[in-house]
Amino acid sequence: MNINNYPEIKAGKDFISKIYVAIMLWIVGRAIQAASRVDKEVKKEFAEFPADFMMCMSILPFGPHMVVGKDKNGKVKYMGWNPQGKKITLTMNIKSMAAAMQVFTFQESTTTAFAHDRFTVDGDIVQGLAVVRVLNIVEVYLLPKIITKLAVKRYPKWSEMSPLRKWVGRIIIYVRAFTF
Amino acid sequence: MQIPDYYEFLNQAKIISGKKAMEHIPFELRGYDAQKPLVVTSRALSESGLIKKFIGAFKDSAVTLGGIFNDVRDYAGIGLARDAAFLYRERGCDSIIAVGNGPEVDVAKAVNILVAEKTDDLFKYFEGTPLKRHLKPLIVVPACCSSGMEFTNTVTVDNRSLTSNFLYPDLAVLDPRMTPAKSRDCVAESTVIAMAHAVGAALTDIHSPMIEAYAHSALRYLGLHMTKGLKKPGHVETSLALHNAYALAALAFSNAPAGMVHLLAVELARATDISAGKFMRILLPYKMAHMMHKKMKIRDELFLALAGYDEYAATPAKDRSRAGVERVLALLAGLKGMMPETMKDLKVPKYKLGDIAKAASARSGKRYSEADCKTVLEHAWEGRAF
Repeated sequence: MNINNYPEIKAGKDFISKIYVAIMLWIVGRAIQAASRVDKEVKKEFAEFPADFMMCMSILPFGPHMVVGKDKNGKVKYMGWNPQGKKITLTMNIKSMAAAMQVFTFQESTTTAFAHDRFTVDGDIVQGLAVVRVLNIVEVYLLPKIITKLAVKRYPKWSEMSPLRKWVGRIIIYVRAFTF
Repeated sequence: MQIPDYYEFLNQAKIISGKKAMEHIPFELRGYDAQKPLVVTSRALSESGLIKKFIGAFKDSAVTLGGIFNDVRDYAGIGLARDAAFLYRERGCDSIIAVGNGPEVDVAKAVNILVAEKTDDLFKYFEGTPLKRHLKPLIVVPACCSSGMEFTNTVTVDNRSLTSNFLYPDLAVLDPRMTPAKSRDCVAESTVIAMAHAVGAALTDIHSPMIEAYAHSALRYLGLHMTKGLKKPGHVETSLALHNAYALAALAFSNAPAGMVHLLAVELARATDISAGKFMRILLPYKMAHMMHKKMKIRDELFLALAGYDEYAATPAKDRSRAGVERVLALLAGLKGMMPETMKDLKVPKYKLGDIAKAASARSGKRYSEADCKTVLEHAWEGRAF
């Protein structure tokens, strides 16, 4: 048999998806940093994390990545896209770029993606679930209701998050995320 | 609730089912420390565009496909297995992915034995030499006309079968991009095979809660989705539900003693070169009628699985056995015009029935008497009721 009739096939690249997900991770990372200073629930979630908390969210196998952790002063900070040289205490991996696109184009909520085993967590699972709750809150601030409803498990009621809190928080988070 | 008998049950395959399931394959391969699978498939699937979709699922992964061996047709032969094994070795592959159904998976399993055992003599394992260790990682991606047999621990090459627990696939991926069928006939045959296996497992005289659970779920899915699947073979959600039913039925079948319908259908297929599914369609109603005729116990669970809790609760206990059989017959009646209904239609020579009954009885380890096998065969041949 002539094996040249059956060529090897290298995996293709999807640069558009990669760039889109990288931008989304940057926005979400910056927004988590801003929300941790603005929203009391996000503050409370992070307050319970240890001082050396450092989380890396990655798309397997080659990235992009998002690193968020506590700095020396205990403040939550977006630490960039490169986990190299950082002491990561919690790794959350999305199994494939296609799964990441499902999540970041809001076709599948973060909680559903967790339930569908699209994530793997290396570290304290309690912290992993807290991060999912934080992501839900951040999405409520960042996105219009019609899209957020697709991305979160349950959109907060007025009693849980008043429109005033939502809009004031949204403006501050957007300003902080994109300025300093 | 009954006390379970002694039983053993093995389901080795991890099953991933649903949207974007194929995109999880690179991650799963990493778990096996594998990065270069050989893909075994058929030319028909390559030409239909399904292989293009399959390859697309590996985008942005670290996996290199060692080759797409797409020479399989509707028959798994040793020549194909040797060619694919040669390609596997030349390319330095470390795992196998079978995309397709029966013959593709059989060739992949045969390749796996050849490369893992480092041999060219496949048939020594069919003649008594046991497989003693885990083979290379084997992933199965059923496409179109799957019958669920891909999930079993059996390989059939050149009409010879081998069963070993090392032949279960390690991973089965049910992706809605691959499962829609091309024709009604294809769905008809697949559902009949699953139905025969699930009914056979549900009515087995061994009481195993595992077998019952798998058979129950298989029958429930078939009861709910078979009719729609036959009307719209390309319907994505229905085809995925049916493929789940095929998998469940095959796993129940793999762990239960083979039923009479399966044994007779396989022997008939060997004798005539007609697919076993067609014979299962013909034999299943006669086997059930034979059981009723001999006043054998037909578990109420059959009716429960096919009808659901409400109808089950509304039916008097004494009528449930019969109602279960009627449900099976009603579902099979939905296949009218798609599959032959008597063996006369298939031009099976009547003089062969005796030998077939004898062979099936022997293969069952005498669980089914030759006389019973022959009675069912003769009624099915003539289309005569009990």
